[in-house]
Amino acid sequence: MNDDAFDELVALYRQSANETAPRRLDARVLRATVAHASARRAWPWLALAFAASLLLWLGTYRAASPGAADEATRAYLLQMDVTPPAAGSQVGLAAGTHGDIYREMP
Amino acid sequence: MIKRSTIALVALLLAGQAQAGELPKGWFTSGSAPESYDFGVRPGDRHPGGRNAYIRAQAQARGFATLMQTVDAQAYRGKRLRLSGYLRTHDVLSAALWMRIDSATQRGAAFDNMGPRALHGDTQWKRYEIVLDVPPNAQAIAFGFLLEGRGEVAADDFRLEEVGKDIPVTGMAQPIFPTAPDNLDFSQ
Repeated sequence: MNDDAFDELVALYRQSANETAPRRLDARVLRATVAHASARRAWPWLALAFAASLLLWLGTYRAASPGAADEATRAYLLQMDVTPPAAGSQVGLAAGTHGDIYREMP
Repeated sequence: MIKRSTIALVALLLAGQAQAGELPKGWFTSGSAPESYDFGVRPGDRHPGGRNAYIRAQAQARGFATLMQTVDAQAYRGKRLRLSGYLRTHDVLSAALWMRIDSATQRGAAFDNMGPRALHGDTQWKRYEIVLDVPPNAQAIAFGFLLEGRGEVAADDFRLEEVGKDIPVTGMAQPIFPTAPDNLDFSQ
């Protein structure tokens, strides 16, 4: 018995045993599979779009809120080294010391 | 090949020098991202023949930059000090005068960066001031003007001078303590 004949025999057997799926069901399974594959392909793009929106929002918020920027600037100004470059070899500010914050530099 | 690279390098350095501009004598740059900003002096328009200092943000500038000086506080200890200067801004996120007085044990024993009085957007020449008390153990006084984010700020005619106690201080106030203990026996 060749393959075609065998396939035909199996098909006849299944038909007689009511194992053949209706065409409507096949179509629905196919549609569901295609939809699932599309959704899986879309997820990375959705995640990327969400991340980009978040970055854009953060950037806009920071640019549009001088208050937050002012706080950061204030904190930096309060801590930064104010030693003039020309005096750098003689006197420097030592951060984190509990005594005199001005110390002689080598 | 080497010659061409050398010429390109020299051209790049010269371009960088031209962009950086000339710093005003006695002033130096600092801030969280001074490399994002250009500094310089140019002929001013407040006085005939005068010059203005400026800070200009480069494209996509981040942080802030300042032109500043630091002086010894010894001559000002116990006095009230006023920093004043004229500023003009163009399309800035934030620009301001600032002054910080460090004591022997504390950075920013007195401090003001104009906070809510900072300049935004476009402004014409106007005088601004900061007034702080100099602690008796003050070591250094740092001051300057700053630009943050974008645009350009120009500065002119700064003054650092002693003022009377009738001039109110700005910025962080020094805590005022009683001169003597009180009600130690809880009788009141």
